[in-house]
Amino acid sequence: MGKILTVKNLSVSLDGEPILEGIDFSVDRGQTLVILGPNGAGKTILLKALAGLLPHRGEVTWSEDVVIGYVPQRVPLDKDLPVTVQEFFGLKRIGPAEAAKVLQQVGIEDPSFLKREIGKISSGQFQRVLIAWALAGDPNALLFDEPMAGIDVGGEETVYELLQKVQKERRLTVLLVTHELTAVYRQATNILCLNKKMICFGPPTEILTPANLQEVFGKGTKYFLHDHG
Amino acid sequence: MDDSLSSLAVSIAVGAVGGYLGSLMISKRMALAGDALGHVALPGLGLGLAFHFDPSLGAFLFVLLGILLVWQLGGKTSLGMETLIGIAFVTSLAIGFLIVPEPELLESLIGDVSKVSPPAAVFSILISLGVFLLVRSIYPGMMLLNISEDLAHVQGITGRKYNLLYLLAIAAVVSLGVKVTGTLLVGALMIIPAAASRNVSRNLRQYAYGSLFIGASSCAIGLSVHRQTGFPAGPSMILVNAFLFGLSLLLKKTIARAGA
Repeated sequence: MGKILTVKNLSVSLDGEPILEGIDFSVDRGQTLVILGPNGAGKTILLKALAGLLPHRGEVTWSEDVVIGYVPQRVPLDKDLPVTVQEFFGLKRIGPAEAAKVLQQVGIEDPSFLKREIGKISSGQFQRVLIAWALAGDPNALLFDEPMAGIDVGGEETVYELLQKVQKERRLTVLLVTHELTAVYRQATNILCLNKKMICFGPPTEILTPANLQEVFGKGTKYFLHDHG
Repeated sequence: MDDSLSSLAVSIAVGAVGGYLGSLMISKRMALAGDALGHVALPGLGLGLAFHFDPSLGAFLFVLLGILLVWQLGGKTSLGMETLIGIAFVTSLAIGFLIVPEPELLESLIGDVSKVSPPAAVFSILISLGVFLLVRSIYPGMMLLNISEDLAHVQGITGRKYNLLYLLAIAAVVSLGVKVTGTLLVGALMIIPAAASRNVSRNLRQYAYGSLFIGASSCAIGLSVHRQTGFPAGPSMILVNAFLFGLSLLLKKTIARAGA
C-alpha cells in the first residue's frame, strides 16, 4: 500500500488565532479518510492546509507522485462571466474530449452542456462541474470539501456512488470533509473527528462511539447506524 | 509611412491591446483602478513634455511607481485597494497640474495622436504586440484566479507572480494610451470595449477578442471622425466607444428577448 500522506503535529493559526492544533494522522494509498466535525470545527481549514492553500506549522508530507484534485466547498461565482464549461476546463489545459468524459462520470451526459456558460447553470450542476474539474487531469488524491453541499436533492446518492466507483477504477485516495454522519459510515476507511483539535482517528466501527461523538458534536447527539446493506 | 498613417496604426494597436487587457480588468472588478492609474501617469507625462524625453516613458515610470506604492501600502494598512488607488490618483493629479507646463496641459489630459512620428509609431506597435503576448500568456491563469483563488493555487498558479505581470501590462498600456487619449481618458480605452463585448459575448474567446476588436475599431473610427470634423481625436475615440457600448446594450436586450 504505502502512505500517500503523513501529517505530523500540524497547527494552523489565522490572524494570530489558533484554529487547529496538534493534528497527527496518515493516509494510505486508495483509502478514504473522512474528516468529520461540527460547523466551525476547522475542517475546511485542515483540508486547505493539506492542499497547501494555507500557511501552517508542523509537517504535511505528500508522496512525490501525488496529483491533487480539489473540490472547494463553494465558489462564489460572478454570474455574468462569459466562460463556458469547456473553457473552464481549458483553464486547466483539459480538452473537450476529456472534459466530456469526466462530466459523464458525474452524470452530465448532454454534449451541448460544454457550450453553456458556467454562470448560467444551476448551483447543483456547477458543483458537479467542480467535481468533474477536480477529476480531470488524472489526480491520485481527491480533496472534497462537503461535496454534497450544492447538489440538488436526490443527487446526493449518485455523488457518493460516483466517488466509490471512480475510487475503485483509479485507485484514488479520497479525503472527504463532511458534517453528515450517515455519509461517513459507507465511505470511510478511517475517520478523523475534529473539533479544533483531533478528537479521534481510526476505522468507523471502532471510533464512532457515543462518547466520541458527544465530544465532537456536543451533548444530545444521537447516532443511528443505518444498514443499507 | 507618413504621420497620418503612423497615428492610425498606433491608434489601432493601442486600442486593440487596451481592449484586450480591459477584458481581464473588468472581470477582476478593477475597472476603476485602470482609470485611476491613467491619472497617476500625469506627472510623468508632464516631466517628459517639459524636459523633452518620450512622455510615454515618464508615464510608464510614474504608473509603475504608483502601482508599487499602492501595493506596498496595501500590505500595511487595512484600507481597501480602491481607497489607496484613489489617494494616489488625486495626489498625482495635483502634482501633475503643478509640473506640467501650461501649453502642454491639454495635450496631457486628452492626448494628441496626430503628432506621432513613424519611428515612434513602430516602437509603440512593437510594445503593444509585446503586451498582447504577455496578457495572452497570463490570461488563463488570471481568469482561473478570478473564478477561484483556491482552484488556481492547487494548479500551482500563484497570485503574486500573475498580479505582478498583470500590473506591468496595465502600466505599459496606460503609458501607450496616454499618447492617444491623454491621462483623463485612457481608462476608457480599457473599460468600455470590455463592457461592450461582455454584453454580446457568449464565451470567453468572443469576449476577449470582441473587446480587442471593439477597442481597435473605435480608435480607428474616432481618428477618422477627428480628421473629418476637427474634434480632438482622444475624446472622439472614447465617444465612439461609448456609442458602441450603447449599441451592445440594445443588442443584448434583443438577444435576451429572442431567447425568452
